[in-house]
Amino acid sequence: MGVTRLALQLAAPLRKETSGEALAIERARRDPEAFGELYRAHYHAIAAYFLRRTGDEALAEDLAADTFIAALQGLKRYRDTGAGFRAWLYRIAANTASRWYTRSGAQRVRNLAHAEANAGERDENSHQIALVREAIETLSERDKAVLTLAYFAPMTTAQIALVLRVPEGTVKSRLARARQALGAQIERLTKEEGERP
Amino acid sequence: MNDTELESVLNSIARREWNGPGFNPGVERAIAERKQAMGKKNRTFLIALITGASLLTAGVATAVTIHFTSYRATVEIDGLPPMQGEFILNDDNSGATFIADDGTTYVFEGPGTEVTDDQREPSGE
Repeated sequence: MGVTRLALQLAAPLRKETSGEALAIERARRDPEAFGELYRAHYHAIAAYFLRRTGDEALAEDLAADTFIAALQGLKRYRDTGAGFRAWLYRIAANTASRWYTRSGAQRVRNLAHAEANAGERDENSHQIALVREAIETLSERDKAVLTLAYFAPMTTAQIALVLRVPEGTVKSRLARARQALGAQIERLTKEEGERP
Repeated sequence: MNDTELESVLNSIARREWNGPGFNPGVERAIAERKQAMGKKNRTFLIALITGASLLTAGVATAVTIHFTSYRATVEIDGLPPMQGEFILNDDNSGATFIADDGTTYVFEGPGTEVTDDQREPSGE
């Protein structure tokens, strides 16, 4: 499937670190209790990212917890690169999701993706959604990161460039390649499905 | 699935909102534990300072240098079972050395280093 069109559905831009947030980060470095303010401000967004990526609410909660605990532990290493604190959290979230996939294995991801489609039928595209989620998790880490940040965070190419610390042009080309790879994986999985008894 | 369908599915996934709770007990617990661990660490430093000051006042010493950088720790390294041992932070916190109870030494340094303070416990003066 040749894909060159990149029409992204973008929500509100990531909140750039306000002076209030910068102060909260400073406070949280000295007092873990102050980290609560940061976590409550960004929890919704991070949990939604995992929900979109996995389709499972309980798992999304667990992965969001892992992300914030890692952020709490690594807060002293945080430096604002211009992308803001939430972008840093998304970077941790993308790594957390990758580790989850490595631990869980393809079969569990497949079961999870399709369980939602079978049980809920919340959306008329449920089966396709499950297929796309499963296909995303089979992509390379690089493709997964750029694709999920673009669609599930969602972030602009400029924001992704700051998060991944690469030029914006590189993000665009990676995104195009990731879409192509995703199309190929969907095709492969669809074919496999057709061959299953 | 063609390009338009794929785009539509991706956007459909992206529209899903988080309707679950706005807090996470696991994170709340981690915050509380870390606060407790930091309090313990600060108390240890305070005791050290008081001890040092007492020695100076009593004329027992002219200079006191105390390093509190060693802690009992449980360390988990990918693919290995958890190990107990002594965790020694570098002076500038840029890395650490872990000496497992069986004598094996691991050196942690560089960008991959992640020191999880909340698992450490002061090993005593």
